[in-house]
Amino acid sequence: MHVLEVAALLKHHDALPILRGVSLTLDKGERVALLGPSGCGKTTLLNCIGGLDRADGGTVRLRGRDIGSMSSDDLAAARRTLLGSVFQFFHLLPTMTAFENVELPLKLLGQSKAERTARVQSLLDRVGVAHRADALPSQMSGGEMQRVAIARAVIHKPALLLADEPTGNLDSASGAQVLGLLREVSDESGAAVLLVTHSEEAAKTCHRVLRMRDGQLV
Amino acid sequence: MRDVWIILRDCALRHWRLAWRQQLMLLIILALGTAVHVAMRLANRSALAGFARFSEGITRDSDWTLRAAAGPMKTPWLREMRDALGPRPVTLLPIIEATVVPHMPDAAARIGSRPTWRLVGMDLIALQNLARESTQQNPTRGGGNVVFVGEAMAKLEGWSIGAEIPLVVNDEIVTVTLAAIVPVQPDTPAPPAHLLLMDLPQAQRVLHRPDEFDRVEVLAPDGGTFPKLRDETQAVLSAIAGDRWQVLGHDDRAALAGSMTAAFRLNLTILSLLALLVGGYLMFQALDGVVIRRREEIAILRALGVTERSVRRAFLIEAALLGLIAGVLGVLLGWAGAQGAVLGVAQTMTALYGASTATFAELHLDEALIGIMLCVGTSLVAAWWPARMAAGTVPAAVLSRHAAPWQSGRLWRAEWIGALLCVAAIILAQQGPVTMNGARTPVAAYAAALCWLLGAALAGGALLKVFRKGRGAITSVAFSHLRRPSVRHRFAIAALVSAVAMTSGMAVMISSFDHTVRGWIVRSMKADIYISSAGAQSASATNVISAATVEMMRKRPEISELAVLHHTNVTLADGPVHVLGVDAAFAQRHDLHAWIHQPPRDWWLASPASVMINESLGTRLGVTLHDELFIPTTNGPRTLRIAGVFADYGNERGSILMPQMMFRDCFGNADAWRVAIMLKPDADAEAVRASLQQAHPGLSIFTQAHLRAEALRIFEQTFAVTYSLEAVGVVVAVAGLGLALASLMLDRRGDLTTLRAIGFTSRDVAAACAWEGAGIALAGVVAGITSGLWLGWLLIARVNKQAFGWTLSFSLPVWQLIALGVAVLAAGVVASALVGRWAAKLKSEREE
Repeated sequence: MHVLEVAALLKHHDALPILRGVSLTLDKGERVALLGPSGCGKTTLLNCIGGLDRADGGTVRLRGRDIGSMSSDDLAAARRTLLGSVFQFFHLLPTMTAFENVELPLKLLGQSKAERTARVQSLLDRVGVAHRADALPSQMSGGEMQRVAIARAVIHKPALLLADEPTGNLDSASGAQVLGLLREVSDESGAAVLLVTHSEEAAKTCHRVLRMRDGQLV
Repeated sequence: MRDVWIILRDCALRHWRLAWRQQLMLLIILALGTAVHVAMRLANRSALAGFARFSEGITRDSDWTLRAAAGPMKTPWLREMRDALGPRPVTLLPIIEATVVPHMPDAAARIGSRPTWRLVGMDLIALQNLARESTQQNPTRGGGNVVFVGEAMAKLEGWSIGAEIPLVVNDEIVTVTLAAIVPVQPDTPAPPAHLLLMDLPQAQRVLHRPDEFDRVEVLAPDGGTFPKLRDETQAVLSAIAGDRWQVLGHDDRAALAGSMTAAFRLNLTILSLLALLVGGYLMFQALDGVVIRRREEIAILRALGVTERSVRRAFLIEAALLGLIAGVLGVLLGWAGAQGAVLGVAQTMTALYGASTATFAELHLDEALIGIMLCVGTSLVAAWWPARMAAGTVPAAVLSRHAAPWQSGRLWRAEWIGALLCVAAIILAQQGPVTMNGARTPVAAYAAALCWLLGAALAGGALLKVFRKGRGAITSVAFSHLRRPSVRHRFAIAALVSAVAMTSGMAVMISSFDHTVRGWIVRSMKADIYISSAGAQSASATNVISAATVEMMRKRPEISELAVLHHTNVTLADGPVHVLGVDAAFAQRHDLHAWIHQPPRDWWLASPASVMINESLGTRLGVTLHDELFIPTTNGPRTLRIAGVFADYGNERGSILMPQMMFRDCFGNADAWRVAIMLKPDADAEAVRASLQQAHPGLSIFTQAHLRAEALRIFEQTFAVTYSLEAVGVVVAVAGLGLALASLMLDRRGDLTTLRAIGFTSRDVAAACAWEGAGIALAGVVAGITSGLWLGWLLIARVNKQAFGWTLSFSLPVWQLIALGVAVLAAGVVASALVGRWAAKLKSEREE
């Protein structure tokens, strides 16, 4: 069974077509890069896959379950267990420390405090920001924030990691480190990764490269 | 300015059209605040004008008014004045006056509920002049008592010439005949709709006051042989007055009327400004949301070269425009509302101070302009911070959709300033009152209240820091925002703290007042039956009961004791003071007074000059136990010695209480002002009351229970407006909390998307918002009620004491405060949950 199976996905904004029959699959541990110019629909595709936006046609299956037929609560539950997201602008919650940001998904899953603490500390250590555990996002560099964001995205061992331009707001050295980290956590956890990027360099870290133009894979 | 115009025309007005519901809501919020303010001002002004008209009658344009320093003026004095003035062309118009009420046998026994008229007896020549101006036939003048009224009163009461009008004059029913209706003349003030004019000798006869009158109006036009006639007249009349009378100019009369109602007016003005303040606060919250919604547009404009100043100006002009429209709307709404409010305000003034005849509130241009200007001003103040925030928008940050919440507002984060203001409040609370126009105003205490409220509002945000990490995901998110509160959190808390502190402070004061006044009423109203003239519709009315009537009552077999209270007014330190002649033995036997300084037993026997004073007089004149008091009397000035000071919550102007013998010696008056009756044990109070009422229809006769209930009703009526406005304040603060949370959610739209991305359901987002709102409400309630306790103490121990001279015992309304806290908390949670549900449906910002 594919981790992700997208078939003939359609999406319009008013009369304007954004996605025009996009189909793709991802398997366990597979990293796929999605390249394309601005406005081609990459982020909309990611939002539809993540259940943050509803498609107008076609299907999205996560581990065989059609998310189009899920209620909003079921979708939220799927995001808690199956999905992890990394964003270009990190989107850490500004009032929570690095530790608290990473801990949050485990709280949603109802894990015990002891379990959470051990796991968060271990993962922060793994991504190299253990020393910044008590820092607020406003006190961290871009590279550190993205490492924390990656830790938050994989803390609950998701089957699919959606990464939207994760290096787009970083310098080249930090970007390279983040891409390396993504590859490592993917290899370690077996999570499939869908990486949206403009960068050919970033795409080279993936097993497959898909190109998108005007709402279609080409 | 071109930039500003472009922003206004192409952006702001377009938003008004697109989001017309929001704009309408903004207008309504501000217009309602203005309307409450305007309505209170117009109603207050109208009631005051009625009060002043009532006090001054038809001769309000006179140059000087002469009033006796004590008791009535005497006819021989008039001859003395005329002789002293010599050939000067000065008109002396003696006037006798009394409040009368229509005889209504079936009227309800509510004090202040009957229409109160003023019977003015004046010189016949003046009356004939008025009669000549009448367009209608003058009926026969001989025989019975005749009166003249204005067109307004005749129309209101449906009278025509020859109508028989039964009046209660003191304790008698007197039927008068309407002789003529005075028409409205251009350039001549029309007699108001409560004025009955009568020939002076007839009035003196009806009132049983031969050779007496109350005042002399002096008309002294300048010009001709006497170019400085006004000043000369004052000098001559003052020179021969001695201790007998005072010469008052228009300003003195206005100041006297003003000082009598100063506290009441101040109360209404403060409350009406409060209404505008809460309107401004809601507007601020709404404009804050508007700025967040338009942030991207502002960023684009900034990126295109529009300056910060232009953005700020455009927002302020937009706010001023909103304020202008809302101001006009608010003035019209307020004028309509004033028609209802004027009756309530006038009734309260009648019960408290005497009489007001207002039934209609006119729209005055100056009040309308003040209302509009205050509305525009409030709107500009409310828009100041949002405009600054809009101007401070960083284009790069917003356009890259990476905007962090606005983090300025250092002042609001400075909790130490709040603490400093609280200390300043404590220091200010130690200062004394300021005397203005004869009225003591607790300026420092009011400033202390303001400092305290502001300080508590600023410091209230510190309470949020007690929130620790939440256990679950929802509370973790909610509490993380509370631990690091933004300026918006602090604004919301400040509003809640202010509203809750004011409400709880007022609750403490009213509870203390209630507790004290109930105790005082129980203590001082121990007689079974109380009697006054039916014309006495207020605590300060001067209508009397004749000695013959008192003697008739004394003979009734059901009565075991009958005590008479005599009354007159004297002027001390430019203000009226009640002088009461009491049956001192009766008062001592029944322990009727609550003492601040208790006199020795049988005090009236110890020294012939011993008197008691009430606490208000002691505070006003700065005198206390064993001090001497010099008062004017009809038999010359007297030196009295203060033997005791008693608590008195029915009169803030001051009372002197003396034995009846001394009263008669000083004022020679034997009429009773009030009568108290103790019944024999087997007598039924209600049956005796009914029997007395049948025998004396001109009297108001109350049983103890009824009078106590009436006293409490008037007390509660006084605070009714306060209660309702405080409730509005709390509702607005809770609504403000909802708006503040809505702004916070809009500002954090990106975070909401993040929460959804990591698995929060809509319910979870709403719950997190509700927890956050609950935390703000809890902090607001705790800080508000805590600071309200001190505010309550300030109102009791400083404001009341300094303004009225009343000592109140502190009473904590525990259940009322708990109910207030729970209500605010519950309302805060509900408002926050509703905002949370709305926020959970906000569309993601991160779309490509």
